[in-house]
Amino acid sequence: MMRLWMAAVALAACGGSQESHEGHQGHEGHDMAKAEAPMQAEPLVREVKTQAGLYTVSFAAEPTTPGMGDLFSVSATVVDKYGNPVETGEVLLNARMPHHNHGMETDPLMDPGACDDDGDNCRHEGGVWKAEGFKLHMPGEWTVTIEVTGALGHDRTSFVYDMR
Amino acid sequence: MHRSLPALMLLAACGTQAPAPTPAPADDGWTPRQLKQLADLRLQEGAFGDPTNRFAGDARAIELGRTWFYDEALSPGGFSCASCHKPELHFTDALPLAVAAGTAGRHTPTIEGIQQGPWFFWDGRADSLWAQAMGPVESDVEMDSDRTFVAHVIREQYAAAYEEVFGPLPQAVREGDLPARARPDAGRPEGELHQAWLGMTETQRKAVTEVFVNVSKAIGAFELLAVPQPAPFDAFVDAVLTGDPSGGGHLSDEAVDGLRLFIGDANCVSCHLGPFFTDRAFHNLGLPEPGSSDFGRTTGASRLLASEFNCQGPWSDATSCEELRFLNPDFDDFKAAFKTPPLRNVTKTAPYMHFGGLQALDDVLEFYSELPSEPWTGHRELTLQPLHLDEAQRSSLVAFLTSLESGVRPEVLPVQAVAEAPAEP
Repeated sequence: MMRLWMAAVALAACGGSQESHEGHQGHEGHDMAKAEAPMQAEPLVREVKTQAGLYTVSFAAEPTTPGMGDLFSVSATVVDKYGNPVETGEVLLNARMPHHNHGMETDPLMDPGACDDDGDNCRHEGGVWKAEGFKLHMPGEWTVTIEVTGALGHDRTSFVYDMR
Repeated sequence: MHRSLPALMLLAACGTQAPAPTPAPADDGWTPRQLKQLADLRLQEGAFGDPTNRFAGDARAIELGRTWFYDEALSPGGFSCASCHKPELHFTDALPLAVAAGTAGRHTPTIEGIQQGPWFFWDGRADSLWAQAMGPVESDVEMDSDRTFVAHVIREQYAAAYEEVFGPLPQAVREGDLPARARPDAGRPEGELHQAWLGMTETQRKAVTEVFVNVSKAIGAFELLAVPQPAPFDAFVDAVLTGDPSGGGHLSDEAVDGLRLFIGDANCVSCHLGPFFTDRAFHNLGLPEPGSSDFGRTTGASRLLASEFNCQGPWSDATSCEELRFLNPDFDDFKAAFKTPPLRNVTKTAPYMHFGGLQALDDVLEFYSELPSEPWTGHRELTLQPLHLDEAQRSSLVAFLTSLESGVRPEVLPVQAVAEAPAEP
């Protein structure tokens, strides 16, 4: 397992710009005065395209609706714009609270996939990339970021998740 | 519309702006969201376990732990856990900073309502109750004892009872020629205790530590029982959830106002959540601490990872340590952050905050109203906004918190106190 990459500067910029909200459904933000917000968080499951359209990512938490302050795992199934699974390269997953200017208080681990005896040439069968150790420890808006480096090049995306 | 009040100990609503008000139900009842919040805050039945402690739930170990929690013989100066964690004060001491063999750097936290873990101490430098219990024993400003002294006491006063639960005392303790006092003390390597420790054989050091761990696990098993008892608030919630929006009269109107503020506009529940009213997390409030150099969780996380008594250490009985595995000691918001305390019986455990510098609940509410100070390092939780609470709001919040009062469970009182307690009418 390798420690998950945490590019604080890049991610803060990402969260602040609200760059990509594909697949983000039902986010109320702070506009809750007219109707009471649902008590429970929604499932942390999204299908999003990366900014330049190189990849599509199906992101899912396990359990799908993580409890506040509870550890959970995530998976990102990545295919390129031609429908080919991204099995090699690099996929980086992270979550931050841009309004609070901090990330997770945990240090998640990325599953390296199936590697050779030397731990090299790792492959993620079917384009499925997994990480453990996510924890959303506070209520509010979290920006989940996904960075993909595959055969078509580097691309990224993010979406907002409202933990409550 | 009044401004939002953040959590008593902590946060306002999330986001960089004041939270939207919670719409009042037309019939003055409770919305589905509020009902869910109330249900989440209600005390739950059931015992707590500890995967790191194979003696958790063992009745004999618990009884020994109860004895040792109150036993002043475990320290040369006559201090016990209860010297600071006084049961009559809900396991606090009414002092700003703990005072025993010396004066500690932080306020004595209660042991009621901390059983969920996963972190213990204000800075989370232990990840089990038993590992937490070790710290004060060997602190020279708390019990000022040491593991070798404890091993002597066990051999001389508790050998049979110890062996009945934990098995034979290690030979090096039972028969060995141990120094009267010794412990590792990396902070004072030239000190007598550390030098005596270095003078022991590896077998002796391991044997003494084994006894110390078992004593601590017994105390930890005992402390798992120190769960708050049901309070009027719980009876109120039960009534509301079974169809009586008035809550059966278990709370005064003022307390209900405070409750609505707590879970509504004030959003105290943002951090004071769950049956013990704590998110079990760490936050920098920017409290008025002139001259502080306490890094809080930053130091605590590093110390935990380095401790041989953590969940992954050789003395732990756990097979999985997920929380510790993913702990990030470099998390920037750990700077000067301290654990959110539980709130049950908070009205009986003044003074407040990790430094004990706020004398009364009203002082706490005033702090959140004005946020007059700045953090000495790091930054304050960005969610905090000055609240400008009026007197009625403060009073209602205190009234609500008073509804969380309950008595200490008899099973965690000293045996003598239970025997001498007057019979219930």
